[in-house]
Amino acid sequence: MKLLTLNRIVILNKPLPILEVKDLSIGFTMDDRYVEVVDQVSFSINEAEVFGLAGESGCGKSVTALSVLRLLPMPASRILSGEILFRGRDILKMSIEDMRALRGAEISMIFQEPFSALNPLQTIKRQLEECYDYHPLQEKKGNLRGRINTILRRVGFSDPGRILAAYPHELSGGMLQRIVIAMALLLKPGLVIADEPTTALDVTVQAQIMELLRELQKESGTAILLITHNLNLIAQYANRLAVMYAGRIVEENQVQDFIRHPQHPYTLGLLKALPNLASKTELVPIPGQVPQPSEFESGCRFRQRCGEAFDSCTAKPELKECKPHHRVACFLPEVGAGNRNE
Amino acid sequence: MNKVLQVRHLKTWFPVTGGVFKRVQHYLKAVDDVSISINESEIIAVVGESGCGKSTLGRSILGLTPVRDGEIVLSGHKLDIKKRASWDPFRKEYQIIFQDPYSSLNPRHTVFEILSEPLLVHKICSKKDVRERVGDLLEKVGLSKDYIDRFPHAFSGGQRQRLGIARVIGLSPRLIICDEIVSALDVSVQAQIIHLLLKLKKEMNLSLMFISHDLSLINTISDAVYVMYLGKIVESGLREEIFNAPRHPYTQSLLKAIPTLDINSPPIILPGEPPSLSHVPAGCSFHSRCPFKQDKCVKEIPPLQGEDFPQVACHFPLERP
Repeated sequence: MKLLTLNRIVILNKPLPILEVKDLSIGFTMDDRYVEVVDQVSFSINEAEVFGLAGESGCGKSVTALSVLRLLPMPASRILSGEILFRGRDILKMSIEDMRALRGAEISMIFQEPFSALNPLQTIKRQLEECYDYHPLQEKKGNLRGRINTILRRVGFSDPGRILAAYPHELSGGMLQRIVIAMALLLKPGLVIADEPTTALDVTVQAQIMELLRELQKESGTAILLITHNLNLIAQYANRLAVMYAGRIVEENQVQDFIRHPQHPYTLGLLKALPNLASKTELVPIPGQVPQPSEFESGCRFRQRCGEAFDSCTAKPELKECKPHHRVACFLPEVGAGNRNE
Repeated sequence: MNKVLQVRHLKTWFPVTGGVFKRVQHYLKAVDDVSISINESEIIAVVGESGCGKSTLGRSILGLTPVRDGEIVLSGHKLDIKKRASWDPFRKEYQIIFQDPYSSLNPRHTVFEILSEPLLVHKICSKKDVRERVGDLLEKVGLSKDYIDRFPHAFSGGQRQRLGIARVIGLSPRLIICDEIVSALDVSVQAQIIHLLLKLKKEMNLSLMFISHDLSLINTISDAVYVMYLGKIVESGLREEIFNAPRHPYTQSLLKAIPTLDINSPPIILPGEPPSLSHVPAGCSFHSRCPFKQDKCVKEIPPLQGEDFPQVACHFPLERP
């Protein structure tokens, strides 16, 4: 019954965290040792919030997401430290059965590639009904059919019967992603992890899918962890965000303030390297390239590419609050580099 | 001004066969009656959603895909489009860089082999000097000379794309077709590659034809823009014209669908998806998604109006503000 009463009420002004990641470090084996591809990452997502996790490829954002569902390859990887609390329960300590009950029902995931997320040999109907094999509900079979039809209509299919009988190859990328979204929301989970949900799609379809996600999120009160390299998407659709670089969170803030007052040199650089539709501004690239995990340094990992690095940067900068809701992992604000608004 | 490339009424149709005798049933019109031109040292962009035929257009221009009909004029010489060999004298000066830096470099060849091949084929330099020349090319694209004997797998996406550029600029081309060259890269690296290309363009007096789906990128680099939809050009114009005052509803919708950092202007949704090229709607091919559709649009194909920029193919183009 627990599953059906998930729509919790957010208590006045004090948002409840649905997911808390604390000091999470994840190592991958490389030449007989573990390389920390995720290094002491902490963030929390509130109920009914859209939280963006941004970063370039290889920064550890997808690994972080997979660890929340405990989908990381073992033993190639290992959780070195930290805890992941979902509504107060530590996911990392759960039994395999509990984990299975959690996946799909309380936390579900939308993957980047809708073509590979669905089984090419099964009809859409079979794949949608599969959720119920793992999460038996009290409802009768007939009701389930109705629920699947309702959600398919909700994600934009006027004729669910035709879609249910189809195989993935008969549908377009945008349609498949709608089905993946329907699948993710079928059991009304409290948290949906969307890992680059629109990267494989065209802009016009991207806008449709994101708008759909936003509407469904508002209706159901689901929290979303939106993982993407696209800062524009996060600006439009998230409430708060964290930016990751080389396995660490470098900055965390509310979206509105983030765009106006980026503090970390990396986020500043990212925003300047972003092509702009509003005006013909020159792109300013960040020199160098993202370090490989084997080259990770103990100090600030952005130091080699940073134009403002100084002596202190050889030490590891902690993620510190510089004003309410705004945390930065950089020494510059501390030494009074001033408020860098430009 | 000197025209590096002129394409008139180009058609690339792929036959769709079926039945017992594999007879041609109909054609998939990937490029249908497309005309474009590029001036010397100009950057033009071709934009559109996936499947609109923009890549096929690029390949057709270089004769990599058989062309059905139309006219291709390279540096003032009209080509015989039925003969593959007619492109041969121009291969050196007309080059292409492909989208995927992972599959466009032979994994079993070293950097030296990859970069020296075009130089030797086109007899740019002798075998004796080629190693030095390849080293220079590497430095020109911002890579170390020491990488010369490595294999592509040792490079990151951005570095591979630099190799792709190095392979092409060694031939001192006049026109480079850049087919989605940065779409597989991260933003910070993307900006590096664009910077490099623009620098080389200035130094070597190149013309560039950018094929891309990323309108914000095109806005920052191009001089003129062609917008494609289902194999046809629906609008063309100078960059400012297209971005500040689009006249075709499709261009407008494309621009509005892009998310920006400005929270106060959220993306506006264009409903539906592009129809497949094998089922192009009658009349205006955009009518199935157009917010301003009228009866005429369903029946008549709108011609591309205007000789030079700006051109628009719409019965009821949007007013310029």
